[in-house]
Amino acid sequence: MNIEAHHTDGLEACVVECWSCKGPASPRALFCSVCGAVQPPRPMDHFQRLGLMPGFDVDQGELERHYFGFQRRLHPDRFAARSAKEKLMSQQQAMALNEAYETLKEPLKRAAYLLKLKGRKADAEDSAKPADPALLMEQMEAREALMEADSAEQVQAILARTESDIAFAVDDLSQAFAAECLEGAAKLVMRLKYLMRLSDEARGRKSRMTRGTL
Amino acid sequence: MSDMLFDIFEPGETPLPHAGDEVAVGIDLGTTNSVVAISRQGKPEVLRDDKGRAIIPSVVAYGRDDEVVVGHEARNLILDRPQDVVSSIKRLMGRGIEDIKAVAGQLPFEVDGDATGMVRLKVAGRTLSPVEISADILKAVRAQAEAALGKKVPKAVITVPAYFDDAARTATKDAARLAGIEVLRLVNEPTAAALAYGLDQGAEGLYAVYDLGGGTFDVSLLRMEKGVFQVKATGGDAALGGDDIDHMIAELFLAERGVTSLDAGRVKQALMTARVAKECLTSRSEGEWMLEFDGKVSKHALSRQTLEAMISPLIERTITICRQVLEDAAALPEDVKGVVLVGGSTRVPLVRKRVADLFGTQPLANINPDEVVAVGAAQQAEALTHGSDTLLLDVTPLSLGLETMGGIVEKVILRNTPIPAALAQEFTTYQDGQASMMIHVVQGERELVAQNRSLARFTLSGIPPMAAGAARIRVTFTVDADGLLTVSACETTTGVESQVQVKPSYGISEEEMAEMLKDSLEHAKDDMAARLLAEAKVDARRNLLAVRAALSHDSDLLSPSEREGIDRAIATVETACEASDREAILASAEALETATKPFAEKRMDRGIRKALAGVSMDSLEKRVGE
Amino acid sequence: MTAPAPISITDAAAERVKALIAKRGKPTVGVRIGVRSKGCSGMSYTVEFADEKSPYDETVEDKGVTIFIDPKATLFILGTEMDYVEEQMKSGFVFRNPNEKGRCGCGESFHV
Repeated sequence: MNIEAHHTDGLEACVVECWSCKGPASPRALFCSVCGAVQPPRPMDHFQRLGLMPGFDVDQGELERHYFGFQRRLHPDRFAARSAKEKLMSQQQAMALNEAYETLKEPLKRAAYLLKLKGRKADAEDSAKPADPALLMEQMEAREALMEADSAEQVQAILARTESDIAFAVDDLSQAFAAECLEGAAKLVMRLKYLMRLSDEARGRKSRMTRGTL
Repeated sequence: MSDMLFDIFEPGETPLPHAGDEVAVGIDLGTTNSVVAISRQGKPEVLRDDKGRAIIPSVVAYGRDDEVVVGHEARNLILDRPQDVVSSIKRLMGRGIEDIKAVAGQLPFEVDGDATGMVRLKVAGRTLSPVEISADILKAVRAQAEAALGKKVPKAVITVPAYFDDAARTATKDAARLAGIEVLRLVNEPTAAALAYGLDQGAEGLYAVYDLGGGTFDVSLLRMEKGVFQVKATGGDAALGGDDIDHMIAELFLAERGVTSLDAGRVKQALMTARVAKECLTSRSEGEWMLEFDGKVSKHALSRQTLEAMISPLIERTITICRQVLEDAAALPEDVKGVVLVGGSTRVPLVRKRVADLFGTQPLANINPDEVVAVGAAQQAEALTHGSDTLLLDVTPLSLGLETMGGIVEKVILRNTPIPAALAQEFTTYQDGQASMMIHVVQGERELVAQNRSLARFTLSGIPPMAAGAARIRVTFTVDADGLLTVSACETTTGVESQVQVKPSYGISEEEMAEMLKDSLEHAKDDMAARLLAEAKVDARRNLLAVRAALSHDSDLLSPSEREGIDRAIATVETACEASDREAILASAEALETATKPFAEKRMDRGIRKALAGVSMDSLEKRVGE
Repeated sequence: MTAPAPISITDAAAERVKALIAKRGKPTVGVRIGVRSKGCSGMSYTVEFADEKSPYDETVEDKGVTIFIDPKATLFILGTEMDYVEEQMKSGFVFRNPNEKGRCGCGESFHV
C-alpha cells in the first residue's frame, strides 16, 4: 500500500497527542502504541472506521466480522474496571462503530451516505429538486393498489412485487456506483426510499390482516 | 499494541495476567422474586440462603420501630399484617401518580402522589418511594450473597426488563445506590438469559427469548455467534405479567363471593389464593380453593379450561408483541432456531402452547426459568471485572424523541438502535428574536407527545436574537451502555450550550437521593468515600502506567536531572496509592503531570519531526506549491 | 491486489524462535499466536509453541519460521512485524505495527 499517497490532507493530521501519556500517536490508532490507552474516535468516514473499502458493494459477512472485531476491543464492557476517562473513550468509540455499522448495513442508508461522501446529495434531501413525476405516479398507483387490496393474499402479492423491485433497485444502484454515475445513483436512492416505505406499509397491513383472521 | 515483551510458552500454559480479586455478582431484581448468582472462572453458581433457597421473594414488610423484613418471612406476614407488607413494587418503578391512577384500585397497597407527582406508598405509618422499597429488597439480596460468599459484595450487574423505560432504569440504579451497591451495568433480562443459555448450550443462530415475569413481559430476538450476542430487536410491555393472571383469578373469586368493597387485606388474601390456584392448574386440570375472611368461608372451583379462556387475551397480547419484534428484525418465525423461556409465568401450559404455535418449535426451558436471568447477569459481572471472550451488543427498546410544533414527536433515536449510541438532530426557532427554546424529551413509539412517556423538560436559553428559522439548535441524544439517556442542546452558530442528564420527571431528585442516603444508610458515607478513593487510585495508576510506558520508549529525550525529577514524582504517586488519603493521591498525580509536561512536549516534537521525515519530498513539494 | 501476509518476522526474531524450538527438544511445527481475553487487563496475546496445526489457523512462513495465527488474533495482529529485543534487564518478542511508529498510518485499514 502506498502510504505517501494519502498524505495530502495536512501535516497536523499525521500526529495527534495521546490523552494518557501525552506523547505522539497515529491519528488512526485505536490504542496508543506507547502506553496502550484507548484513543477517542478520530474523524474518518464509516468505511474507514470499519476497515472496509469504500463502495456500494459491501459483503455483509465481512461488515459484521469487522464490526464485531472492533467492538470486541472497544466496547465499554471491556473497560468497566478502568478509569472514567478510558470508559468515556471506549463509549465514544463504540458509538462511532455503531453509527458506522447502522449506516453501512442497509443498502438505502449506505447509498445515501456514499453519495454524500462523493459530494452529491440524494434527491430526497435536496428540497430544491422536484421529485421525478414518473416515480411519483408509479408510487401513487402502488399505494392505491395496496389500499384497495382486501385480502391477505392480495397484500402478499403486492409485498412480493415490491420486494423484488427493491432487489432490482439495489442491483441497479450497485451498477450505477460502479460506473460512477452519481446522477443515476441519486435517482435510484429516491426510488429505493419510496419502495422501502411501500414495503413497510404492505407488511404492516398484512400483519394486521393476518392477526384479524386469527 | 504497546511494546510489550512476550515469551513463548508451552501450549495452554501462558500464565494469566494478574486477575483482580473483586467480587461482583449478578442480581435479578424481579417483580415477584429476586435471585443472586456469582460466576467464577466461567462457572456460574446461584447463591442460596442457609436453608438452601435461591429465591428471595421481592416482598417487604415494615413494622413499627424501623423494623424491615424482606423475603420469605415478609411473604408469610401478608395474611397477618397485610397493611404492612409491600409486594410487586417493581411495577411502580419510575412511574408517576398519573400513570397508575387507573390501576390504583387494583393494587395491593395504598398509593399516593407527592407534590411533584411521584408515587409514594403509605405503609405502616411511613411514606415510602418505590426506590426505597426496592433498595430494601436489594439490601437483603446483598446480605444473602455476602453470607453465602463470606465477603463483601460491593458491585453487581442488575437486570431490568428490556422494555423498562429510562425512568424505570434510573429508578433501579438509584435503588442500588441506596442499597450500597455499585452497578457495573444494567443488563436487559432477556439478554442476560440468552447469555446464560448460549454459554451453557453453545447455541448459535437466531434465538428468541420469551420472558413473562411477574409484572413485565419482554421478548428479544438475538443472534448468537462466536461469542457475540447481538440483540436484533426487542419488544414488550412493562405492565403485563403473571400478576395479571393472579388478578383475574382473584377478581373472579371475589365476585363469586359477592365482595364489593375492597381493602388491601382482602385483595392480598385473594391474590395469594389466586396464585396458588394458578400454580396448581399448570399441572392439574381443575381444583377448588377457599377464601376465608370476615368470619366466612367461600369455596371456588376453577378448571384449566376456564382459566385459559380467561387469560387467552393476555397471552395473545404477548404473541402480537412477538410478531412485531419479528417484523422489526425482518425475520420470519421459521428463521428462529430456538425459543428460550424465562420467568415463572412461562410454566403456564397455554403460554408454552402459543409460543410453540407461533415459532413452530418447542420452547427450551432446560435452565431453570427462575434462575437463568441471575446466572446470565453473574456471567456478565465476571466478564466486566475479569475480562471475557463474549460480548453483548444490546439495543434501545423504545424510540427517543423531542416534542415539536403541534405536540408531534420527532424521533431522534429509533427503537432497536444498538447502544451505546449518540445521535443529533437540528431544530430551529420559530419566532423572530426567540431567546430560549423549551426542549421536551419523550420516549415511545406514538406520533403524539401526549401518547408517549415524558422523560424530561429543559430550556436552552441565551440564544442571541436572530430571525425565525436562522438559529441552528443541535440536540444530541446519548444513550450509554446501561440504556440511560443524556440530552444536550447547543446553538451551533454561537455555541450556547445546555446539557441535562435526563432525570425522569417521575424519579427521585438528587436532593432527595442525598437525603435518603444520609437517613437510611449508615454506611453510605463510608461507601461513597471508599468509591472516590478507589477511583482516584485507578486514575493515578493509569497515569503511572502511561508515564512508565513513555519513559521506556523515549527516555533518551531526558537529561539525568529531568529524569530524576520524574522518578521522584512517580515514587510519590506510588507511595500515595499505597495509603488511603485521596487528597494526597490527587495532589501527587497533579505533581506528576507537572513534572512530565516538558517531557511530553519533547515527545510530541519528536513525533512530529518523524512524521515530517516520513512524508515524501514529492508530497512536501506539492504542499509548498499549494 | 494480493493480500499482504498478516505478519512478518525480523531476522532477530526468526533466529530466536529457531533457537528456542531447538532448545525445547520436542517435535514442534512452529509458534502459535493467540488471543485470550481473561485477566484484569482485558485482552491479552499468547505466544506458544505449536505441536500441530489447527485447521482454523492462518499460516505464515517467513525466514524459515512457521507462525500460526488464531483467527481471533488475525484482525489485530494484521500488518505487524514480530521482532526480538534484548535489553539490559529483559528480553522478549515484540509485535510492532510499522505504520504506527512515528510515521503516519493513513491509508491503513485498521490499527492496533
